[in-house]
Amino acid sequence: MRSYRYFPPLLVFLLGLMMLYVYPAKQAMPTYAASAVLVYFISAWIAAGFMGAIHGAQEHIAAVHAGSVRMYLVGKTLAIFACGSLVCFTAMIYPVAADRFTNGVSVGEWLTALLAHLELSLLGGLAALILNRTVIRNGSMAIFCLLTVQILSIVRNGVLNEIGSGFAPLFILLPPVAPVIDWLMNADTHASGGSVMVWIGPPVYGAVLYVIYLRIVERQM
Amino acid sequence: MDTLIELRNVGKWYAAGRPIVHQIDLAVRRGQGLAIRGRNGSGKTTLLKLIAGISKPSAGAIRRATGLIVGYAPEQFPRVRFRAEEYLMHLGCIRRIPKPELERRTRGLMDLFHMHAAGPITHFSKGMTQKVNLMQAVLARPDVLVLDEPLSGLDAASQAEFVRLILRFKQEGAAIIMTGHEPGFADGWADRTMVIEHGRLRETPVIEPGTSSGEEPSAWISDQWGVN
Repeated sequence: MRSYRYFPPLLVFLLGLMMLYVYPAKQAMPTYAASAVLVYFISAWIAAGFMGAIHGAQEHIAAVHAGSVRMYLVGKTLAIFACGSLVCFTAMIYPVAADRFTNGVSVGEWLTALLAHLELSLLGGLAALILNRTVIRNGSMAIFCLLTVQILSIVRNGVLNEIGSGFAPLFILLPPVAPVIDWLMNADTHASGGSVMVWIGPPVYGAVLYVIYLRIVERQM
Repeated sequence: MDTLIELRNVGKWYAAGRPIVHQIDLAVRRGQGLAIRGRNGSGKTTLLKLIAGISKPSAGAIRRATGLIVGYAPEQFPRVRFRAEEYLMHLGCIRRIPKPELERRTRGLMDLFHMHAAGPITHFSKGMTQKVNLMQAVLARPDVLVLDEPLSGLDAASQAEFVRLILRFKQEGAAIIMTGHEPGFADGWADRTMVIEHGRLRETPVIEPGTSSGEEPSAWISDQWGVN
């Protein structure tokens, strides 16, 4: 429905992107890692805004017109990811168009970074779908949980280095964001393509999370 | 008469709580007017959401006729930032109604409900929002029209106009399922009246039977719904 809730995240995203590229960057991939983290948070914010923008009764009306609750939910999710993809492409194209990489960026690097942005956008959006007022009744608690999960998923590797990898099972349910960021930060040391699991993990995790989301929402309707 | 929707031993509950509705057996037939009364919290809205396909039953089964089209009007219609016409076009797109046909239907509904020159829905009165609510529910020419307390909060004149419109759609062959608790809300259009109490549905005698006001369906509805 017609809403202006996407304005604040888009504004913050554009400001963040400009700050990131105030000074030209030598290395493209570590800078893209930073913009991917930004996209991860912004996508979650956009998704949370979408979820809160639609009145419950309007959701029921739209579900009846769409033919089923599932069709409606899938449509809404696609709309969220369309916005997320737009953010990803902006984050990818802006530094190239504005010539902000002193050493340039190869096509392979650019495509790999685009994949990373899209995957993090997917994970951020899905995290916000699950951790919102539909599932957690208290709105403040939902935001707190979402931010906690997002921050922990980013700093996972650093925390494990401090406390020991024996605690890794505690973090197993978090979105697999850290391996993607880690790969981008150390792109020059990785073999071409890197570990397949780094790239397959997010869509698989996202698919499982989405099925859980559909089940929860359909049961609550 | 054709059975459009059949509920068999249907129950609904959330997260191991007590059942909101249970042991519901109901058959809805084409052209039937079904009035459901019940106090607040008796399970009326839950039952309508089950019939409309918004909720899935926790127990029992719901069978729908093939290709069944349902129109649903919730009790609390959202005051969205659209004009009525834009809103109908938007929902028609979700329904995948071809654009020329959608424009024709929207114009027809705007005429029928006298909704021209109206501003955004956010500025509408209760009566006008209920009209838009009904307009969106009939947009796809539903076989079953599910209306959740549409008369609630309307003055007597608006209630009479609303019932007159409902009756017209019923005369065109749509089954009408409507909840309410106003005295006499089932008068003039309901063939069956039922009461829902503590989640259980039971039949009650029809006080004023009659499905027709003696009025012929409008030419617009005959044209729109393809019924002669």
